[in-house]
Amino acid sequence: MEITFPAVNIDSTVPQLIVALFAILALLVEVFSRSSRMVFATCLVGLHIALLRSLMQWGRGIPYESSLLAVDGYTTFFNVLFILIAMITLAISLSYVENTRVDGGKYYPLVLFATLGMMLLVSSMDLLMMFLSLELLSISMYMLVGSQRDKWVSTEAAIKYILTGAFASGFLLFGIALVYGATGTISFSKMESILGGLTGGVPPMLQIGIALMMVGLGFKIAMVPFHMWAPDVYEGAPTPITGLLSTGSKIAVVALILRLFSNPFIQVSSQWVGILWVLAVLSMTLGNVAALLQKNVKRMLAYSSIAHVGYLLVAFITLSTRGMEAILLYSAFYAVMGLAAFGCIASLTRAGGSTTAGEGERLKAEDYTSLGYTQPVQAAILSICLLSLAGIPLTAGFIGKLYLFGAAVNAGFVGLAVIAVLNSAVSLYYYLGLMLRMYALPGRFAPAEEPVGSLFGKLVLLVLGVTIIALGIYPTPLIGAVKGAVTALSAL
Amino acid sequence: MLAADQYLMVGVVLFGIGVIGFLTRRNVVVLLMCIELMINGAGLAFVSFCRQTGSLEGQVFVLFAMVIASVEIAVGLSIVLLVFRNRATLDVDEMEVLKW
Repeated sequence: MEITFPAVNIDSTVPQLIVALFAILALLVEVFSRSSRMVFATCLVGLHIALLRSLMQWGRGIPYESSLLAVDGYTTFFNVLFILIAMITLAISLSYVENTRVDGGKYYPLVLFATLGMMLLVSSMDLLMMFLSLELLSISMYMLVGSQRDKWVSTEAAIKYILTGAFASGFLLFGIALVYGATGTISFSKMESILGGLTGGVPPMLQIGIALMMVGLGFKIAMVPFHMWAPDVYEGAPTPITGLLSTGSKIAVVALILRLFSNPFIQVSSQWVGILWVLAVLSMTLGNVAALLQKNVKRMLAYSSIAHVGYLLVAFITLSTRGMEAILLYSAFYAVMGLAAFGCIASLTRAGGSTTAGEGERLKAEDYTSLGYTQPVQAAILSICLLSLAGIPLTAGFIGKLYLFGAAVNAGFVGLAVIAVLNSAVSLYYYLGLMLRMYALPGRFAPAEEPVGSLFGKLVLLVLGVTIIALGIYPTPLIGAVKGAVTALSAL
Repeated sequence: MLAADQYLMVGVVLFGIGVIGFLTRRNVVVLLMCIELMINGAGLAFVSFCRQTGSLEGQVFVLFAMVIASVEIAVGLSIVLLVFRNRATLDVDEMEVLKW
């Protein structure tokens, strides 16, 4: 028994290192300057440098693979996506943090640590790296969810999140132990060759191990039946963090599941089709029906995000290149739509009172009545997001769903595609319902209301809104990028 | 001398006690302890697999899992403290502002 130290290629992991470095730097800035805006600036500068460095790796065909990390087209695609998600999260957080008395000095660096977790998760090439980066992501998110310390709902969301999250991590860890026991290795590439050489069926211990791992990962992406925590946590968390939870951390785990089932577990992936078929239908249906009945906008979006996981699973069970491309494409679209929608809600928050539940924030659907006349910018962008989430043509969401369901039909899952389309139709009702409410004519006695939200925040939202429409009309460059990323994944 | 299989069984039992405890108990601190039991059950499984397969990776994994468990508990307990300061209760059934 001897340990060989893996060779580390510093050059290809620079984006991750930059994010880590600036997260630590931002904590130091917080200590020495005590200014939350300085910390914000540090984090944003760090993310910009990391983004530039990631883009330099874009399309360079030399994959680097050690026993711990893989840096290839697939990870580069997700690195860029996660850095953009983090930048948008920071941008929509700025005025929210100041209005709701969140401690920005700790909040912004934690967003960077969570981003680092996502980036490392997607590049993980062994179970240890995967577990550590998933925990880095989760633990940062536990703290971020509870960061509104003077508000009870935030604390309640944090305790519910950490209990369910840590419970899920326990399952994941035990699953990893069983997989390790069955294969004798924790490296993805060795596992793939060991499983490839199996004769006479898959050992039951490995089956149970993979099942337990899927329970743990299913919790993290809020897939039915492991979704119970999601609505509560999404409602209680600071709104920009809800956006990060429903986009970034979910996409990272989905990307990891894709890697798991196309590299190490590729031999057993076909056995999962039946189970995931049922879970996809359940996720879509339960998510949409529950969203239909919700009166709270954040909860409604939380259930709709459960439904969106169902849509992703529809493409996943095809286990085809086309399905994977659709998942990557939809993840990128969903990141923009989700963050923009929660960004609008965050931007409608008024300064001051937030000591009791929801005060100062527009949470109930009634609060959105005739919003189009008092808060035109946010209402317009939110409408674009809702249309896109519903999958109306000329928005990104339409192209995304077309690819997802197209992949399912292509692989012969016509029944599933029909269920998915029906679900989309159900979702139209609540998305458009909220939108119609925003543009209902104001009553004669409607109180006058000053526009809220900073200029910077509105500009960010405008950019996001334009991006959703631009991607809906001209998605070709993104589709090209997605194809490259999937090719890199299957080349490993 | 116990066989590696018996250590594995102890690990499974520990994990099972953790899961059952988590699902039946209502005190937040006890829930965190149950999670700790689950993680340590997994740790024991790792070490016994190490014995069986003769590789070192499992033992390294246990060290990291212990660190992660302690970080989780540190964050968990600080949130529990925040809960207790707000509500003076540790019963999860009384945390029901966020509900359907």
